[in-house]
Amino acid sequence: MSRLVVVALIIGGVPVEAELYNFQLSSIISSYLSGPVGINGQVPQQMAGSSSIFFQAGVQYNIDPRLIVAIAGAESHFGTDWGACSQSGFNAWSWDCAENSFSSFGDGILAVSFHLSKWLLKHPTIQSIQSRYCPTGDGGCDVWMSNVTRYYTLLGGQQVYGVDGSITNLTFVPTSSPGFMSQSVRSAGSIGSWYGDNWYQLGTSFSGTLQSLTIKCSTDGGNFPQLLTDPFFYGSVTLNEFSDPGYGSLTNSYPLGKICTPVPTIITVPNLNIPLLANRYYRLDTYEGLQNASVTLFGTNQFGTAMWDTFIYGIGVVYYTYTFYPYIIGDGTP
Amino acid sequence: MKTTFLIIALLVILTGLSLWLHAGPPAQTDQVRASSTPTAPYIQTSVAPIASATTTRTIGPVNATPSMITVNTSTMVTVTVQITDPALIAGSVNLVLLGALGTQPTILGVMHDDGLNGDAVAGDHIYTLQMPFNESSPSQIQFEVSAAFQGSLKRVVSPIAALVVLPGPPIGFTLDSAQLSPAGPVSFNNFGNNYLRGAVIPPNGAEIDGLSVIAPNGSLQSYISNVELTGSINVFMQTLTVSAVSCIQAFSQDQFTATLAYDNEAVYCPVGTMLYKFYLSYRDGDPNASGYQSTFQGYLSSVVFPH
Repeated sequence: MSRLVVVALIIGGVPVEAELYNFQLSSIISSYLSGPVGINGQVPQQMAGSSSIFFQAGVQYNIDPRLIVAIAGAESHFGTDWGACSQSGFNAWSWDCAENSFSSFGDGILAVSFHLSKWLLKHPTIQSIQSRYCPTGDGGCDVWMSNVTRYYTLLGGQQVYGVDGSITNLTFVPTSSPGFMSQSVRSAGSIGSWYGDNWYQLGTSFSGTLQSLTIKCSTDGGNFPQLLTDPFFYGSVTLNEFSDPGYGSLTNSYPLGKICTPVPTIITVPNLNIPLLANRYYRLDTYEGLQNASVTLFGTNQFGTAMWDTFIYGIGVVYYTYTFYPYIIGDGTP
Repeated sequence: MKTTFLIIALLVILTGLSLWLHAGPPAQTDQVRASSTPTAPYIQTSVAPIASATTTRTIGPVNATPSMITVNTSTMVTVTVQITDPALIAGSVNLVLLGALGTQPTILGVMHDDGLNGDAVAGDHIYTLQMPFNESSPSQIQFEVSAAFQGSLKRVVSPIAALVVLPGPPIGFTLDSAQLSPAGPVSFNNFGNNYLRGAVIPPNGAEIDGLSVIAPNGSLQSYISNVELTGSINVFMQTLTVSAVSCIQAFSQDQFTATLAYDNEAVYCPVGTMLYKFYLSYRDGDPNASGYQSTFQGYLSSVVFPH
């Protein structure tokens, strides 16, 4: 039975590149929990805002954080259905409710991740977890495995059997240098901004020191393309650091320079030495120095969020949002 | 005159003989040249020894899941092998049981790649045979895969694989049969499988697990420290011999919450390409801890590893 389920999951998609996986995972969890997935609407803010803790626990205990999210979904609809445990205990995983309540969802994430990481060393499939986590016959357990598998898959997780029958993806190995900010080019480019700024949210849970950054971008001259013979008018890019998922509180700003030339070019900015913090949110901001000019970052059109803001004289209005990730390769030390 | 006639007659005979001898081989050459398809018997016969001499046929390692079973318990074992060589002759992949030294191997069955009867995906070059095993005593079952290839006169055999038959549950413990899935462990506990919700061991409960995985690359001690014991505290490691194999024994504690912690004993035994792992876990502070440890040691002493 388990092999049939697993085969279906394998057919569902191709394995995600490790770099891409790490890069986006926290954002994927955050986006998912911010959606209408709770039984009565929105997931509690504290749960929805815990994506970095899910990620941190995954790194700390070698467990795929999506599995912990998925079990919270199966057990309590992500903290919105408290049939098993009391709401005050933040135990969204129904994890031995009688003995264990937590002071926050974050505490619960860490404890359950730790416990399950040990369980996975011996029982490495969702099926084998189910048989003891929520044995058939207990309330709601008949659909536990299908629900966990469904949420896990919706978050991009895959339970893949190796040739030897072992599971390869429920455990979590964080990416190390130098690929920890990598992203491949998959489309021609983003929509350029008009006389103002673009920004491209990169998400959170980065760590280590960013030594260099490679970006593909270009700038047009707007009303004055003839001036682009002067590098002074090239488009500039800045890596900004924020303390909140809404990208409202700027905590650090790292200018990368006027690197976007008239011809789309892949350019590497060396010697950055930027310390990346796992609990911060990072965003690439572009700026063009000429009226009606546009800076275009090249990359994919499948993931992430970019916003186009006129931002004239400091008054920002978001005209357009779309999914996008820029071409970006980071070279750093974890 | 008579001599001249004899000489002329001899010359005519020799010329005719020469023409006849000369005419034979070209007729055969034309026949070969006309047979341009590679399936012509004449061509196949002539190239077979060349392929046999220059091509090395290989069969991937054989895997059995689970690779450990327990005595007196019928367990369905899935044996797989990867063979990507296009010269493989369909229907020739046999799973062979190896007996004691000097005894004749037994063909257990034909492995297949048709997506049926346990084969996960048809046509993925992973050949499968599923069959139940039920052994009466701790032992090891060894087998290999043999297959025939076009252009090879002899069948090719795989590296030898082993299925370890573990002892039955210790006294006071029962087998957790729900864990006998393809990748699951042989698992025993003393609380009738009545885990608390969340797979938590209840008070006065103990769990023993045995399973095998592909041996990790690099140092075993490093793997144990960095993967197996991540987050654990009060770690103590030493060497331990199990079934003539040098293993690493690790004691540790996992403090999950302020009120819930497990004490663990784990034994890691590298054998060939496999790592055999055994675990004992129970709640910290359990008054029966020394009894659990004795039971675990007794269990390990009856394990038989492949050699």
